[in-house]
Amino acid sequence: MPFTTPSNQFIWGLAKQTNEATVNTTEQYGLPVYSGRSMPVQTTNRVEVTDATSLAPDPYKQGDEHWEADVVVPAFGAPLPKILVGLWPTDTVTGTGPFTHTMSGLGAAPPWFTTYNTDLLAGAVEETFEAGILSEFSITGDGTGGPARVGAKYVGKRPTIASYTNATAQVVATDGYFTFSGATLQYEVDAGTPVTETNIQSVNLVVSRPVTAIATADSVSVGYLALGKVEPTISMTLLMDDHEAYRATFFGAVAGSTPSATLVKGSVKLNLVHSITGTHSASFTMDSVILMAEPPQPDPAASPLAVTINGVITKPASGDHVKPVVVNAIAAAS
Amino acid sequence: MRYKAKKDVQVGGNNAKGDAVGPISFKTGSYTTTDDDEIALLDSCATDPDNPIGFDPKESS
Repeated sequence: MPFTTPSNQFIWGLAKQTNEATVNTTEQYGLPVYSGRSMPVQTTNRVEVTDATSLAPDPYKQGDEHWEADVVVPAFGAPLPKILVGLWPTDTVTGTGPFTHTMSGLGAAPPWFTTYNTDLLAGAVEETFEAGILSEFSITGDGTGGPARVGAKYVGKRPTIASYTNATAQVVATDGYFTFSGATLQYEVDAGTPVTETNIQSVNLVVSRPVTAIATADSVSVGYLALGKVEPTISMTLLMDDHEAYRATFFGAVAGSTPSATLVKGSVKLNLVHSITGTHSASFTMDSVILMAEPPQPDPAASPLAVTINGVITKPASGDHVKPVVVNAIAAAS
Repeated sequence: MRYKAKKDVQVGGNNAKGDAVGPISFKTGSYTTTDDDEIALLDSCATDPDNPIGFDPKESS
């Protein structure tokens, strides 16, 4: 009996295009994934007309073939700005090494990306996915430690089977990663300056911008992508240590006692440290967040009382809703 | 337009079509351009109080 084909030998690639038409034939980063890949998407339909047969009609292919990616990767230091630039298109780099990448411009027109699937098995095809837009960025961490998990979703125009040049893939053991373990996590329920807290069990920051592939009457694969509105949200599970978020959510202030018509605005700052290089770091600052608590649920099993916070990130006095800063060894702007 | 930066800065971005703009380097401390895409990118930086790039009011055209 032959051996089965293992499914772990896979690297997902990413490159930022200089414009919509110029597809990169060289990866800029190769990334091992927790899950996901770039994949073609197509829709089929049947010609639903009346006839004398009892058999369903044959399908035909709609003109909306495009590609989508929904990958989860470790928070590697070098590629992180290249992912972030999909939603924060301006990368301002300062320093002489390490280099500080201040990402901005959330909501502005995004850049185009090429993505790649590399199966490391002999004889595998090389797939190139052209002209994609980042439709969602997320970063997640919890008490299990290890690399923070970066989620990246892309929607793009045309999948092709085409050869390309691989980048040297990132390696967890030697390149290291950003992690929440050992970092400082900060929030404040009712003020714009967050303070250090140690009761966050898990956190998930999501910045989404829905992208829809639009078919036209003459299309086989799509030529147009429609951009939706940017929506940044954050959710946190907190070990219950006070009623501030609960009271602010339902009673209008951390000391409130009666229902209030107003929503209380707080702030959050997520810091990450690097597993190998102490001078490297990442942070996500949210100066204005409506932190809404769900009432903590009692449990006969006496599990730790936890409160879930769903935060709606709003426009601060200046700058973007979410302000990412990455300090790494990459000198070039993304 | 002329822009200035207090320290070594490099900035990259894109225009409204998603075409890359830059990277633009401020190694000499200032940068002058008449390119509309670069002006749009640098204006967005100069109006952001958190960004080290600013307008150079003495020599703007």
